[in-house]
Amino acid sequence: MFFVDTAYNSIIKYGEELCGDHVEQVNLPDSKILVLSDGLGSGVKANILATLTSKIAATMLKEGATLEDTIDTIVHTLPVCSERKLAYSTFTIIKVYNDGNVYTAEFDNPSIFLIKKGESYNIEKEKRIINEKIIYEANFKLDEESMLVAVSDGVVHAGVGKSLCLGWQRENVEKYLKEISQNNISTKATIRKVLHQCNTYYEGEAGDDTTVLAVKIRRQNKINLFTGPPKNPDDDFIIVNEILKSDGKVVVCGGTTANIIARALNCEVEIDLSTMTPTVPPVAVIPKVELVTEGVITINKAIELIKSYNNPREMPYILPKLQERNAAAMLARLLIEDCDKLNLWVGQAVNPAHQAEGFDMNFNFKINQIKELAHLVEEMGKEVKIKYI
Amino acid sequence: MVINVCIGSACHLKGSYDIIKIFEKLIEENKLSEKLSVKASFCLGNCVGAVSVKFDDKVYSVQPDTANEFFESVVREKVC
Repeated sequence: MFFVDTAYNSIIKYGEELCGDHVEQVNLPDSKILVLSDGLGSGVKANILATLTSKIAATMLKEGATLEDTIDTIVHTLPVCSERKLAYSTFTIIKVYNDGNVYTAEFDNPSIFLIKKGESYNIEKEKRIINEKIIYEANFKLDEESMLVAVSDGVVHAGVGKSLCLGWQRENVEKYLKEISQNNISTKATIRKVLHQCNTYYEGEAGDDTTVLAVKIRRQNKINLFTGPPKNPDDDFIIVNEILKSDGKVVVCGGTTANIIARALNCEVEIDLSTMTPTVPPVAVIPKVELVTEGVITINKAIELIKSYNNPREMPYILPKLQERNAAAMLARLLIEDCDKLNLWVGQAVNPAHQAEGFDMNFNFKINQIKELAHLVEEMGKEVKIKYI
Repeated sequence: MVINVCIGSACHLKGSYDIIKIFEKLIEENKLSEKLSVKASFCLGNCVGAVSVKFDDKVYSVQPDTANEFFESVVREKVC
């Protein structure tokens, strides 16, 4: 079983508020469906067309509808443009299963790139006509070294009227993708690089909505985050063993929790004072544990960082903060970059000192904080499970 | 010898950071770095008396404004 790793982002046409391209993602137990749609025109109209198209397609396919029914519904739902007397929006549908099997259906978007270690491969497609639309369908298998890249025509045309007469053009986009894929590259890095390139050609004033989407399969990165001592102290060792035996990395947030795990491992908690800041307590080192931090305060700071990271307007400013050497930044970075699935092991023991008046981080605060963290990590498209212990 | 300052949640909020900095400064000023060091430690199990400071196997409650006094009265005689 693999993890389907997806990344996508857009540059909005210069001068517009809304993007006329839209990507919709649906996560199913055995697969992920992505629909990239490019609406006719730009601005509000295009945005509505693209959003409707991708949402209808994603929702219907998720429920198991056929491609015929889906396209039929889209055609009959899209509002007709009053100027052009047309209801039109392109789409690229990509469904990737956990075992690497892929289904694609393309209508009028630049065709998908299949890239592997510096090479580009041709995808064998079948032509079908549904509702007078020519659709290209394909079924194939993805391996761990390959990546699928779909783009809207804003990428292929990047630079038109600016630095390049004919735009970037498909062959050159392909060449660029081959170049950057020589070394193992992540989906996030791929879309960032391609969009940056487009933005350069457009000289910062994109002539069209420009979208890049990348998909690959890889092993799932799991994190087991252990915070708070178990309700019943007799369970300490049993639970610590269960956590250490689990698949994935272990992260410990909480002073007492760290002491429990160190006792179970029969080792010392070494605190690294060089990571101490006035606002965030330092990290500690315990063998076999990826990261050891204090609890409520650190988690609170990490939540603030992830919240900003999830907000497109604040994201660019938060990136340097995520690189700082303190426990909260390290925790946030781990959850953003190295985590596909987060298991939260939440201890329910109550620290009497935290219930005291004047201490505003009591037990309820802790539990709500964990729920908020879980929500934010889910917002990044990752799977989260909470286990109360 | 070692002064252990708790940096658990409650102690952090009550000023562990400042206390660590005060102890580090006092050690430097008194040229005691060969005999004495400051370390941080996770929950010393005395959250009610935050900030917990462990010295010579005993846990004390210290605040940033009593740190100097604690150093003079408890630590100095043991070390010197």
